[in-house]
Amino acid sequence: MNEIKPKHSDDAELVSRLLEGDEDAFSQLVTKYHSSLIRLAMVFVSDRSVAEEVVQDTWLGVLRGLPGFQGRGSLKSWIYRILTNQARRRGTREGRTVNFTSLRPDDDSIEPERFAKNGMWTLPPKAWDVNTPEKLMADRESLGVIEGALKTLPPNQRAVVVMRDVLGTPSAEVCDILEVSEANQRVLLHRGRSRVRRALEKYLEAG
Amino acid sequence: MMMCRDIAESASDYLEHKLPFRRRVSVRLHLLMCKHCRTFVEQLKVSIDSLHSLDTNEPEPISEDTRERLLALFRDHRDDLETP
Repeated sequence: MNEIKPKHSDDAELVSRLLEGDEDAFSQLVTKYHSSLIRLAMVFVSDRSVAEEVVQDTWLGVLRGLPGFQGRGSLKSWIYRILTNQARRRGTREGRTVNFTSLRPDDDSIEPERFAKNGMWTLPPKAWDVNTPEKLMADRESLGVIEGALKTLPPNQRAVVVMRDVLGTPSAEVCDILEVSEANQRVLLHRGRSRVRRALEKYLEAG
Repeated sequence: MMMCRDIAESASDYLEHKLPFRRRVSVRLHLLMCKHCRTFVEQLKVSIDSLHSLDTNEPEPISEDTRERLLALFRDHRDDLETP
């Protein structure tokens, strides 16, 4: 796509201010994206301090690459891509690789024993009292359950769930940045989300 | 005929309107008749919506140290930024 979408014109303004050396513009950029970048880095590297280094390197990469940024995609997407490349490289150095091409066929979204041979539920989900996001988010423990569930996801599922659901990145961009096919992305997303649901189920049923 | 297991597998796609029309109709019909699957899909939706609010509700503030460090980085590289 070569047309500039309306929201990219906001980018254009910010980018030109940055290129003029406007410090406030950079401060704005950092405020907007820094914590998302940390969260994204944490998908690929083992600990917080490493993530912070990766994000710092990312900002350096952004500053160095900015004169060459042509605005074909969004600024956010471009920054996320720089981060993902840095984080994956760093993760690989630590022995953590994330595989998006071959998905484990035996990783079911829901434990198979919850369905009978004919495909009907044997262990159906029970209704939750806490059944809206507002109610859930009001409970600090359930926040912890969700964060905990994210941490235990296989990295490829975590990458997709974090980018799509936590950071709100559109699916085409996620496929592009992570170099994952649309089909695999959907499978990983569903598996990850199902595990989060399962973690909440365990927590809420324990009362 | 879609069974509960199929519905559970398709739930994310259903919620995002990614299913082809006929499939979507099948899922809808099943959901009308099956309380268990309805519960499952609602719970999945709540989980997704909660994930959406994770960072918006409690975005991590940047420490002043970090901000200063990044601004210093910016100043160091300001010359690189001027397009020739």
